[in-house]
Amino acid sequence: MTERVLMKGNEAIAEAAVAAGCDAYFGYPITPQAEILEWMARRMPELGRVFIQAESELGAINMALGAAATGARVLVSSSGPGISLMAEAMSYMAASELPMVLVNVMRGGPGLGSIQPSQSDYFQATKGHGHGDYHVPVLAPSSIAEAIELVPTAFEIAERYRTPVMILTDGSLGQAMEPVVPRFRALERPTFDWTLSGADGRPPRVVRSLHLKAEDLEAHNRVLQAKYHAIEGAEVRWAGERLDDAEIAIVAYGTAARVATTAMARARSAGLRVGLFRPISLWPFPSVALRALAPRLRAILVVELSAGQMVEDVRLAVEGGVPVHFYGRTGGMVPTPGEVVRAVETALFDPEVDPVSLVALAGGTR
Amino acid sequence: MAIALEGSVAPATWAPLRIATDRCKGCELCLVACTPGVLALDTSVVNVLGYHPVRLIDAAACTSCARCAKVCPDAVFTVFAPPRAARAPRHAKEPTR
Amino acid sequence: MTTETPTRTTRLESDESPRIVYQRPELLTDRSTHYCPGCGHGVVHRLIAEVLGEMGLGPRTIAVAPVGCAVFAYDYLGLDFCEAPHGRAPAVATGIRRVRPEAFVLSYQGDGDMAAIGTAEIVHAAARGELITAVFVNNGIYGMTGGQMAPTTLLGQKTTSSPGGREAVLHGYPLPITEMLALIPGVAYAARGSVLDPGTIGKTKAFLRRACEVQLEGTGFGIVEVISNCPVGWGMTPRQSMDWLRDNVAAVYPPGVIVDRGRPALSLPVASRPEAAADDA
Repeated sequence: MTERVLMKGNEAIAEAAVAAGCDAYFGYPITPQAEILEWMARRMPELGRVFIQAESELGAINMALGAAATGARVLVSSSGPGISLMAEAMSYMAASELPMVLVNVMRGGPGLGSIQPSQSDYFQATKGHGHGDYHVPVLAPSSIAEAIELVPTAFEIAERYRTPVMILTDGSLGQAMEPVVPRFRALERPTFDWTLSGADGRPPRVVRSLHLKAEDLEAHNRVLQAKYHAIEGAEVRWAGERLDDAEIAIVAYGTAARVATTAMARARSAGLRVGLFRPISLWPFPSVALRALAPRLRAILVVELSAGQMVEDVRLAVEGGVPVHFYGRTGGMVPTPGEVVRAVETALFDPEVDPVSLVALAGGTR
Repeated sequence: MAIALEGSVAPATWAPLRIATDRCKGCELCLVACTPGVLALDTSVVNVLGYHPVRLIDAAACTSCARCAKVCPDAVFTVFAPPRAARAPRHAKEPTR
Repeated sequence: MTTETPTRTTRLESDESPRIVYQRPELLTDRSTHYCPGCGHGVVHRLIAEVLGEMGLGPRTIAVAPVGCAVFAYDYLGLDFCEAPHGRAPAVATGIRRVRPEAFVLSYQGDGDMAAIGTAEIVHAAARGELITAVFVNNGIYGMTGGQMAPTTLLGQKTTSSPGGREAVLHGYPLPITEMLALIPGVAYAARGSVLDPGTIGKTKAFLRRACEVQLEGTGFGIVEVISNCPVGWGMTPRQSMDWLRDNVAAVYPPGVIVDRGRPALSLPVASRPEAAADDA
């Protein structure tokens, strides 16, 4: 099908999950992702699949835990405050090695915050966000077309490694409508040997995360860590634009990367050699590629819709090899390309000036 | 459901209770439940769990009522009753086994 | 396993063998439980093993284990089990039930799990009429964490977090969770049993069986609360704990069938007086 269709981001993500063979969706209304819930409320019963609007995000994520324990392909979606409620179950699911895809359509925070887009849940997503030593792979689309591709990829990673996977997007992408060629991908069914189905003619199975003997839990942690190393080796994703001759690279993901793309074009036409390094997997973070790029640059500018979260991983990755500057807006404000260009110029020509102070010039309060 | 005792066709002895003493925790709830009072903790024994296990002290008075088995949290009891044919003819009906 | 030497002898006629009146149900594993001596969890596990075994449901069951003393239920019952976070068992059971229509789904929770942190999950599973059978072991205390007050702790009862005894003004009243749930139309069966003595244990087993039938019939959500003892948490011997259960707990949480919507002709009003509930058993 080569015809382009106008699709809303949230609905495209939902339909991509349906096409990928999602068996069950559990959710709770929260802005700006209610459209995912509503799309699934219509589509899943149509197909005889499972849909529940749970009593809360706590209910939804735990329903997902139960369904995933039986080997079902499960999608859950929410936004910041709801994702926080899901942290406990995410830790349990990582520990119990259950596959699942969780979509966070980020909004302004912290707290109840605002309903406009942000990227302030990066720490939460990439640093485990629940208790204990674990990670979940995090994928960040920056267009609706890319979101449609990454949803089945997320299910594949989840099932290949037996892990929850998060898709981190924001309210802008969720609410926007873009023309896309709807390349929805169907996925095969893997066979599992660990799922719960009733101990009929086989020994009983237990899906658990409690290992009271410390030696046992350490052994289990080593298994999990080995899994994360394997994922770090195989599932890094990033995209680069105009990096070959760049003197400054903007590092940004999601909506920030879209703004940065326009800023890059404007800066280039003003003679500045700007490139864009766009992480697509936020965990595992493309540290190796970034570190390889750093020596060729005079500066890096990280742009986020937050007070600065991914910038820490960028600084860790380049290990002091190149100055790293940061520009961001919080609260649901989205930087304009003009602001980003000014931040690029500041980083290149006034490196002592903190680009974030430019926010005052843009009319916002610091 | 009938079980066969090892060996003989007509065994001379049988017990109304078989007790998994290694699983008993000496909670005494069976002593409370037992109406004829045929159970007691065996204070001369400490089992692998560290408790005095229960012991049948008067098998003749045991009526195989299984109240002990019903209250036991650790399911240590297997309760036997004499086969219907061997019982005193208290019942008008023909035995079904 | 040591065998008692018999002290009664009797000569058996012909080659008839003694009948087995009672034996350990097959669905109980061989492991000795970690539960304290006299703990009601052991009885409830045994009843579940008996009922599921008699109904042939073992191979189809997917059960959900709580957080609390009974977290290890999966070591003692030979069933597929999923561990749930504290309070979330009804949601986990819902997820399982919806994607596995052919399974038999059982959840097992204590009073903290269901009546404190998990109140929302149990109410909404009941409201959805979820086809699961919920077992609720109510011993009025948080056993595993060392004996703190539970939502079902009795007024006046001393616990490590109500050392002066529970007072309504400080701690609120004990929650009648099962009566609350029974109001919900999605609940097809709600009953309360106890582990007090062989008679009540037999009735509890019947309640459990009926709650399982209700799931198989597809009429709705089934819950069996079992008032139980916690000798160590209550600071009593097992014998004393049964006295407490009979003399104090049963008055506040009276055993009986609270509602059975699966048999409309026999549907009973929500119990309002202890003696009314006792008659329903």
